[in-house]
Amino acid sequence: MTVEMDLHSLRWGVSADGVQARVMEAARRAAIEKKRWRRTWIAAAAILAICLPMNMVINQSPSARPDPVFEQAADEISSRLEDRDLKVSLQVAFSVQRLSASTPGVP
Amino acid sequence: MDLETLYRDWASRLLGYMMTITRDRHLAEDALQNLFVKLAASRVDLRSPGVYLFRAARNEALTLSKKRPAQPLRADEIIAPDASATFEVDPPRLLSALDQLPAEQAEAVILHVIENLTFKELAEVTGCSLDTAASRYRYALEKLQEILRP
Repeated sequence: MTVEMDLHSLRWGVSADGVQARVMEAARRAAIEKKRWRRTWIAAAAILAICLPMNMVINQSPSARPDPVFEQAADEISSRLEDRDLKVSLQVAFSVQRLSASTPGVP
Repeated sequence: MDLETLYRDWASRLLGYMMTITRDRHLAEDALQNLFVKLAASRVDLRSPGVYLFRAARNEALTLSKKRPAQPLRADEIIAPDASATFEVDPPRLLSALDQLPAEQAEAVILHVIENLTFKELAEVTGCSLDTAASRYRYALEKLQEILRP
């Protein structure tokens, strides 16, 4: 069993300190990218969740005018949001919604 | 556990292990980077990371090791003898003998004696049964003794 005892006295002879900056930078970029994707998906889901019901209401409205209650709620949600990207996405979605609702002939 | 701490505690050991698989420092560094990129993008619970990290490191190293280096590293370029220890066998001879083992036996020795993994953990890392892991280690010791016999 001498060989086994000798083996237990072996250690790693390499260090990863030299590549720490490179590896951690790549890891940080991956984490940011992942976060950005998650935010994009949340924004897309929020836009769909708000626009689809609004679109249905507008299409059913005889005057094809945006419902002021909806408009007020949309503005309120938008102003309360802290996430800048999501806020911009919602504002764009609401603007498109208002435009399509106020344009004659647009379903 | 945050990524910086994880790197400080594990990176050198993982790099050493990856180098024994790739036999190339640059490939092992790339594999280490790939591993940390995946860790950063995932939400794995790493409160007891040992087996998980070695298994993930093994997968990354094996994926990259298909590109074989022209001049593979020797064990003595990856593993060093403990300076305070006394050896029955001359360390260069021991490391040279380690180089002559089949890859899976050398891996069993390295993970069991250098990393102190149990046979159960060794089996989990290498994806084999407990008996196979223990047998690989036993065969490796027999072969080392045979190589080192005067």
